Amino acid sequence: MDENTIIYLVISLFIALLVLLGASRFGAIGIIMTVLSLVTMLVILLLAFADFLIVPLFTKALNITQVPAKDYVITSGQEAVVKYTNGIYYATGYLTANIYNYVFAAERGTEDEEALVSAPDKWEKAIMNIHFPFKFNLVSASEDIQRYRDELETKRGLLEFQYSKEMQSSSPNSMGLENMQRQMNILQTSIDKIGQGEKPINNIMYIESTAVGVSLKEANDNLSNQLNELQTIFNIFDLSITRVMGRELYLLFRMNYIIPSMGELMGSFQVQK
Amino acid sequence: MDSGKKRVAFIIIAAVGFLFTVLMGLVPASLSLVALVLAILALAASVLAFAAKDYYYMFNPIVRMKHMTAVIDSGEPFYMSPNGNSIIVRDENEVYATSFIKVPVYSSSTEMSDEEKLNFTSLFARLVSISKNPIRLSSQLNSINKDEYMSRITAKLNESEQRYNTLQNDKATPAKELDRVKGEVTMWRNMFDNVSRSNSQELNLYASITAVGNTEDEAINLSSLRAEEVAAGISATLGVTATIATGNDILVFIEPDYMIPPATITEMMKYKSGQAE
Repeated sequence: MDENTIIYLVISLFIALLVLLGASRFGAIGIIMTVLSLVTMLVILLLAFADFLIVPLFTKALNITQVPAKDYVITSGQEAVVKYTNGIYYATGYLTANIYNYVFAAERGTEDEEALVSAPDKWEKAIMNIHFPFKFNLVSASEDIQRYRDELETKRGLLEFQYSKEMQSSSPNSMGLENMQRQMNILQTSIDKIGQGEKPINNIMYIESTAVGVSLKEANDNLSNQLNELQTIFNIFDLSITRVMGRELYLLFRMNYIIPSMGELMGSFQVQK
Repeated sequence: MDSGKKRVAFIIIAAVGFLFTVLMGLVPASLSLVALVLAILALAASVLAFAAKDYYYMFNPIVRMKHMTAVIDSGEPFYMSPNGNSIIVRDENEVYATSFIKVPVYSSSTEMSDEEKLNFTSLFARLVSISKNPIRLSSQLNSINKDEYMSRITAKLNESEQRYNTLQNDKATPAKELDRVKGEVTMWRNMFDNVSRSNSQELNLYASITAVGNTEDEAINLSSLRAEEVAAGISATLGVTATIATGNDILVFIEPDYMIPPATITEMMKYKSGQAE
């Protein structure tokens, strides 16, 4: 969660908390206010951590569709963008493709040469098994090396301080120490990589596929089948793949035409560094 | 794109929420219903304030919603730049131009040694850090538009069929010549059947980059400049000739009906039904 979101979250929750604190003065009505405040806090927390689940549920229940542009419709379940033209429905859906889902992999100092050698073969095998249109997208931007290095060193310094403090305590938490040690190793590996000339980059990966149908349902069903197939095929790459739903679907649709700045991307998606 | 507006909306809504909570605090305990209304308004404001961060773009469409359809934008999603080198999107006062760079990679891993594969992967990894501005590298598998090719085959088939009929009606035609033309008709018919039956796809690798400007010209020029830089970087890294895509080539990358041309839809449907069986 980025700093911006934390500020938004704290202020919004604070308003609900003020209502909760003021409710005790109003007797029986105060109980209703307390319940409402708690529900509001829950809704805000759900919006912060699971909006991709609750917003599509809400739009599906009310059958709300969105029109992001001429000839395009986002379905009520917010799982596909559909274009209707020449009597044919073209449903487009997206999958996230998070390649850095394993923290342990980031601890390794050297590149896994075997994985790099086998990558082109795996890619070609995957392509040969796909018989429908799809796109594998990688949005990236390199970072300012010095600033990134300073950022990493600051984090490492902070962790070292916490580690030594924990060590000096009367009963050090062994699991906490192990976790801190692991995080320090990850940071050290990243610093070493920069020292070896590797450029730090921010990136987002996603897979897109389009299915056709003579009805909206047929196009959506075909799309679901295609995305499931892609999910199975791309499993060989050790990717964490999930179907994109909700507002990120609209953002990815917009990204077809505009690639946002890295700041906007970092605010909208969980960026992999 | 409208982070400034989001922030302003958040500040205003949160301020209204705080105002309601203050008013609620000032209400005497005997006016509990008034306090309840103020509390509900404050709580609604708190949810809306938080929603402004990610759902600001939906506020206006939801308010204006008709028949359960929220129209975010009713205009074309983009239009082509006059030089055909980029697509243009207008967003209130700003203009965005996005250019596409085609990267022709013809080598296959089957003809590479392990060392070459490692080199290729490393070079590809270097592409990712080619620009400080965000670039998108896409590998797209799309159907080939066989419309033109198929219409050429159909013309040839019709022509040979017509010739065959004419020769057949002419009693003086030698049997050998008639057999030859009949063979030609069969050849074109088989070719037509094969081409329309097979699923023809192509794999394209391309990069795209966006530039923003206050005017269309500024955005287009900046985007073209960045695209040329990226194309030069890709060409130098991969040793291929990366070129800037124009016109219909761009549409294949962004429009679903160009990605799956009408001529290939039947094929896709046949493939789907074959899978279902």
